[in-house]
Amino acid sequence: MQTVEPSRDLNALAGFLPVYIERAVSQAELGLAARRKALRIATAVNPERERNRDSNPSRDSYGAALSFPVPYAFERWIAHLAWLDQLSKGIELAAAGLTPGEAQGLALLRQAREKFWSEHTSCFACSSVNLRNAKFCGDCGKDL
Amino acid sequence: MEGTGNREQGTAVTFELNPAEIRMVLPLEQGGRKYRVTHFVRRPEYKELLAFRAAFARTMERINGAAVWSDCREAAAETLWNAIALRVEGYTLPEGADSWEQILWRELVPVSHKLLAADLFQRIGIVKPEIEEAFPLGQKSQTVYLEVRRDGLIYSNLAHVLREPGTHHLKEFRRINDTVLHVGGSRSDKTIFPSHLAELCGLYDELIVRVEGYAIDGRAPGDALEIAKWMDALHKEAAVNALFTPAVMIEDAAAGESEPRQ
Repeated sequence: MQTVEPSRDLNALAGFLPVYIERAVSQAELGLAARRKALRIATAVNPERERNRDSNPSRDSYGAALSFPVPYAFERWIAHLAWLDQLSKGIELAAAGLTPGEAQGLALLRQAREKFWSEHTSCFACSSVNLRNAKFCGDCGKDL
Repeated sequence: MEGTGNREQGTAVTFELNPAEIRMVLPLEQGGRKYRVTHFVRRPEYKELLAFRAAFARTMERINGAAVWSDCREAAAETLWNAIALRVEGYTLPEGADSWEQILWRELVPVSHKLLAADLFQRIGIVKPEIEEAFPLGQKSQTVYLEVRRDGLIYSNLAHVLREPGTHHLKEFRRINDTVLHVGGSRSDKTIFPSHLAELCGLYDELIVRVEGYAIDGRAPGDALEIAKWMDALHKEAAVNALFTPAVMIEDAAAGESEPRQ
């Protein structure tokens, strides 16, 4: 069996990055949805009915479709790259002495993220992520 | 009974980095019988510890959504133990044998005993602080206190004074830990966690300033170079891990916030 080190297999990394980003957004979306539901329950006249209301099935299937696993080794490495990206907002990364794998991986992460946001937009009203060419928000229904 | 090598308690026993032999007492209970065996081993060489950790080969697979861990610790422990064992006590000779010279005693010692001994080698703890102190600001070094059991003694307050790590060091530590290997083509997302012992030792050698509580042939270690040469690789690893992963106890922090301020 062949072992793969994510920092060296840039082709595979480039392939997994969009999946990872979509999955991260999907999980954030699920978190947002849970938060919105909690707010609705807190302010509802009939909280029990609100509590029992089914979650959006289309969104659930979307989440399930994105549960396709990014290999754990790649997840760890992408998380490291994301940490480096976060770090770069505060300090000059050159000072941290990036390895070639880190520098190339960081460039790929930024490319994948830019591509994602060139195809998506977030709703000004509820922050849900929608396709850029969508006419209205798939979650709150507001015009985009 | 174990004694203490804690300097604070006045016994001033230092941890010898170049011992002639290391005595490991293993109390065992097996099949309704109680045993106490003693293994005498030499100090493992750096390359032997590297090979031991490499042979450990910890892996993880995702099976039905659950993480399943496995490793080769028995084989790794056996190889290391066979290399460093000098003699054993507390065992009886097999039938027909009159002396230890007649038998291949290394092969007769059960693997479970060897595994226990290897585990003892790796049991290096961080000293649990008893009192809260004010955190010193602007310090140029940090001290890490380790606790080790050996030869029936508990060596606490083994102090490692390390340079205050920079962003580069933190980045390196995270890079080392976040580097794991994917087994291509595996349906269960098989992941290999390689040993990072050599890299962590390298980080330690860069950062170490001085140590306390240790001795090399009975004398206090000298400069950083000498410490880097003689310090046990597993102690280096524990010190670096302790330096970069401070234990933040969220529950304690929450409890602390509710206490009235002085």
